[in-house]
Amino acid sequence: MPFIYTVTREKVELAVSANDIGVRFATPDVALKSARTLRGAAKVLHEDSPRAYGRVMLLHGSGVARAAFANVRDALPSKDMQSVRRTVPVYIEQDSGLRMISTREIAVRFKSKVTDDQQAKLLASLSLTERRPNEFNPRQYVVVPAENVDEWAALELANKLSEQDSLVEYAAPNFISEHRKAAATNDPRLRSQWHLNNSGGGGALAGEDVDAFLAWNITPGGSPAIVIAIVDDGVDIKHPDLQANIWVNPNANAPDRNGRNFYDDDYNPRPRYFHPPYDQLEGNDSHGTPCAGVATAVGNNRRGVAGIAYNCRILPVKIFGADALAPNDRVADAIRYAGQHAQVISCSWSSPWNSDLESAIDDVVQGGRGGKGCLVFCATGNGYQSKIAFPAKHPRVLAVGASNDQGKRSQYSNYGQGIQFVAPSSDHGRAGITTTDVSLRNRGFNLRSAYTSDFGGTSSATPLAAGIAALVLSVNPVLTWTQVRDIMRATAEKIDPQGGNYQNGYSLQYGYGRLNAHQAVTCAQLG
Amino acid sequence: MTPKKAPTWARTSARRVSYKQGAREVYVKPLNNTVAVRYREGAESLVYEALRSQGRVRAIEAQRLLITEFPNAARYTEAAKQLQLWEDEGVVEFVTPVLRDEESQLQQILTDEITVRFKAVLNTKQLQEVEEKYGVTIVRQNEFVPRQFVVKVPQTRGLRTLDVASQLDAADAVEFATPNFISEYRR
Repeated sequence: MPFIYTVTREKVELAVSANDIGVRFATPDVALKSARTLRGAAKVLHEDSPRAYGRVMLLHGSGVARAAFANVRDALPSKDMQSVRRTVPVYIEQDSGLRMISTREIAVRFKSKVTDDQQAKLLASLSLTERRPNEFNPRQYVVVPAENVDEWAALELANKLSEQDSLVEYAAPNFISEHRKAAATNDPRLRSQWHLNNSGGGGALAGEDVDAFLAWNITPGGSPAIVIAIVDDGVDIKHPDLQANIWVNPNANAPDRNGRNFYDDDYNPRPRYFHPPYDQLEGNDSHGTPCAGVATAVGNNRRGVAGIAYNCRILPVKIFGADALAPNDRVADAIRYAGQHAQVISCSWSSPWNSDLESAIDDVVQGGRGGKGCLVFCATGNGYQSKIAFPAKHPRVLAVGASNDQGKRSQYSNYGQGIQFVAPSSDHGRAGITTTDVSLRNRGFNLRSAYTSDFGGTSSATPLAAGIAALVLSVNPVLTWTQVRDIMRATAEKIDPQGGNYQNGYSLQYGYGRLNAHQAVTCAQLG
Repeated sequence: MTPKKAPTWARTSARRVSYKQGAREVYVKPLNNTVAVRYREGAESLVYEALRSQGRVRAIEAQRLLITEFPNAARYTEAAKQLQLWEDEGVVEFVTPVLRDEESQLQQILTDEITVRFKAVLNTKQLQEVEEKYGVTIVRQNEFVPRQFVVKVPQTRGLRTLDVASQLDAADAVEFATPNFISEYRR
């Protein structure tokens, strides 16, 4: 049966953990020493290793919550046994999955016009006494029950206080809570990359992102063994925020050292065609570099930005020059080439339908990764249309639309039958995407920098989705392409439930929803 | 010497045409007064200058292509006569219409090439039979798929590549045959 406590009329649902127990010691130093000893004996440190805060140690073990007190005590280092006072319950918050160790303390804040006398009467009626006032708010206290009342009763007492809503603003058990460290990188422009972690500001809605930081707790930027092919115009392989992640052919004698150029039919995938005005997409070879940055810009290098999969590798596969005109067979072969070296393929473009490209996609999805199948992500297009473009509409392609910083579909983003997901990107009048830009002097969308804050469209959403797939494969590389797809579908957030009109979990506007990197890698980790 | 009469391909009207791809019928429409010209190596400046005096030229160097839009039918017809002559002399490899794909509304430049994937690997004799039957020449085998080839349609005129592609696509031994367009991509 779930436990519930109420904070400012919001119900928080908890379950008692069967596999965790809190062990309360006589003094904090024994708790800490005991946790260290147990961790040392286990040799491998992981998130379930014993940890201590104050007098309480969190102990994890299958069914440990049901074990008798004596059994728990006997599992501890012998010299610490005598210091154990009791075991205390550990709850799991249903929303976050995080553990919360019960204490005897309750935090209570009284309403502003409540007198000292009223406060005292209420506390006395519940046999609660004030332990300490809050340092920063004079109406807030930590209170405790009588000595003979243990941690199991704190939840119920907190709820009784909350029920006094004429007097109490809120009351909640003062749990010792597990916190998930948000694994931000040290890249200075990371705070502008709202699509990774949106903390609000500038009119954006906090949380409208892919939960990248939480995903990075599990797999920091993914694995270098996972390669994302950026099939597009040139990728600036000398860009200081991309260079270290550019794929290097393991065959030292192969001519394609760092990718391939199917447009000029050589092995240099860098941008080389530019026509004024140089900061425009039309006529310039500057689209592949920002796409690559969204997926895999180097992270934690104290420079620029971080890609969602900042430890994975980029395979640049050039198919366009400045004009986005290319022979069908070269584009199809570029996909086949990508399928030989990359697990994930990102295509931020659309084209007229043709059999050769269609068969190339079938070739890599069916035959890539030793038969497990490459994942091919394609943009739905930016045409304001209620149908998605080719090759996104190919049934083996994962079609990606765009959502904005408000958690709604970007106006331009094509939608309709076949869309699989959306991922955060730009919209009219809303924040754009900060990513790498062509680093050649006076070239790229931002002529004065090697970074742009104005990238966007389904062009940006697509490598973001590809990067999430790369994180999924980083934690579980044996998954087939359909398993990865199903994980991404199952863990996508059903944003805009009213406008989305989801039917059986699927929306023509959003597909299965907005991708969530954290949920996807968590699910992949579980197999 | 300039021919007196415009070639037949220059009289291709901007009517909707189609080609077959398996069960699918693909519809395209030639753009008015617009051609794609592939010049021989070394002939770029000669052809470029001549076309630039008649219309608006967009050069795609990597493909040796000049896409030219003429301001009216008269200019187009006049240029077509010269292009016909150059084609006969080998100065240009082909002159083809620029099409607009009906579904995507993207441009496709018809070339003299068709990509053919056979259902099984054919031997040399079988490949020769295909060449003879359809009047095409195999120019290269696909790097990644051994049963896939690019074939060239000699003496390409107007929409002839589309017709040959449709015929090949319907052949029993063929998995698919598709015109190797130079396509416009939307980034």
